[in-house]
Amino acid sequence: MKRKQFKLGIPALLVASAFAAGCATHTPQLASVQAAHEAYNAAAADPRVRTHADVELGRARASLAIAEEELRDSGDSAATNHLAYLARQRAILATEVAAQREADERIRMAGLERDRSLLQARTAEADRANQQAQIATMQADSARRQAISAQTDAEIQRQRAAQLEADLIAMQAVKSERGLILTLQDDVLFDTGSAALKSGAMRTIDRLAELLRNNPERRVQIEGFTDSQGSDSYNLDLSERRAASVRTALLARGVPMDRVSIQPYGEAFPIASNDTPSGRQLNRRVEIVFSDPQGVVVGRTGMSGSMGSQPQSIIIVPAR
Amino acid sequence: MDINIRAMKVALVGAIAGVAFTGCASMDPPTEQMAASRTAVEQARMSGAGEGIASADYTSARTKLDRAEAAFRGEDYVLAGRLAREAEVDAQLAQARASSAKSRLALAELEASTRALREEIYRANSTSVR
Repeated sequence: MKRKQFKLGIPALLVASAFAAGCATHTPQLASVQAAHEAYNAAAADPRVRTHADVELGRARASLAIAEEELRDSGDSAATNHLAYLARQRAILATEVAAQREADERIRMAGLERDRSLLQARTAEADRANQQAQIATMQADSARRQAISAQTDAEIQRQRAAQLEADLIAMQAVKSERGLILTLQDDVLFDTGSAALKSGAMRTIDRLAELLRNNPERRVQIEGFTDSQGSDSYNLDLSERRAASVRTALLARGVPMDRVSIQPYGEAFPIASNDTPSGRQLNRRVEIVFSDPQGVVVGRTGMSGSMGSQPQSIIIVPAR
Repeated sequence: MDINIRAMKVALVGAIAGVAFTGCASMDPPTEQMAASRTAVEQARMSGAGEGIASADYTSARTKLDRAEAAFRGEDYVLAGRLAREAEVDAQLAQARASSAKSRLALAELEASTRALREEIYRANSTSVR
């Protein structure tokens, strides 16, 4: 396109200069023709006119040629002025038409650009909404999973507590206000005056260790008791050694040390009369007190309680 | 005979010249051009060229058309034709000026609103994204 215009331009220029030379030598120059030339040259130099108003520019060029022909051939200045005026107006017209078409073209492009921007904006907005919806969904999912998980945890804990209770009750444990308490008679565990566990006690100890393994949140307190025979200090010492003996056996079976505490009471808290042999036999005992699921063991108060004494305070064992 | 022939020759040349002269003076009335110019001026008026940037060209067209009409009525067809042609191109130019002014105004408005839109989008993107 550009090359073609260039090709056309050279001969046109030659013709124009030939006219100009002819005018200069043989005919008087007219201001109206001069003005038409200037208007035409200005239009032809405007690249917008070449692009958008080539036909209009051609008409102006033809008009200018006619005006110059009239000037050369007739010398009639009125006719020449008229024709030159037409040529000048047509040159300006080409410029205006080009300006309008260029503006229209840019309006079309700007409209497309605007549509693209709007589309991008809507896409971005939709993306954001989508993202937020996804985040909301993920949060809801997570909350739901946590709720289910909490529910499941609570359910598992409840089931395990029920299982432990059933197991301990099967071992003749008692459910008291202090929690589950398993009472073991000394004559089952120890020889008279000794703190060494008998081989017959091992099954019970094995079972206890297994229960603690299955319920890792539980602690136990091993409380030792004697009858009232012998000195208080001897009885206290014996009850401590026997409780410690049970603890050692549990530790040997893999129960962590911090989950087993001992508490010797000597001849305190008898559960039967010390006046009869059978009563004394009942008083010689080890009580295994199970904590609640939070690891808290409810303790006794005072060293000189009597039969049927009630717990009056809570000892909180440090959690794990 | 010689004289006669010469006289006839002179008469013939004179007659031809006379016919040519009267033919020039009494050319056909430029009816079509008048109609075309009236149409062009009317179209310019309807495109809003009577006011604003194109009003000078429109006024010129209007004035020349009126003068053309007067010349036409006075049977000065040469002048009527010229004035009518000039009125036509003036009207065309007036209309082109009015149209291009409208297009440029529309373009400016569109560009301004597109700029505002783009800024709005930019703000929306930069504020609401976490």
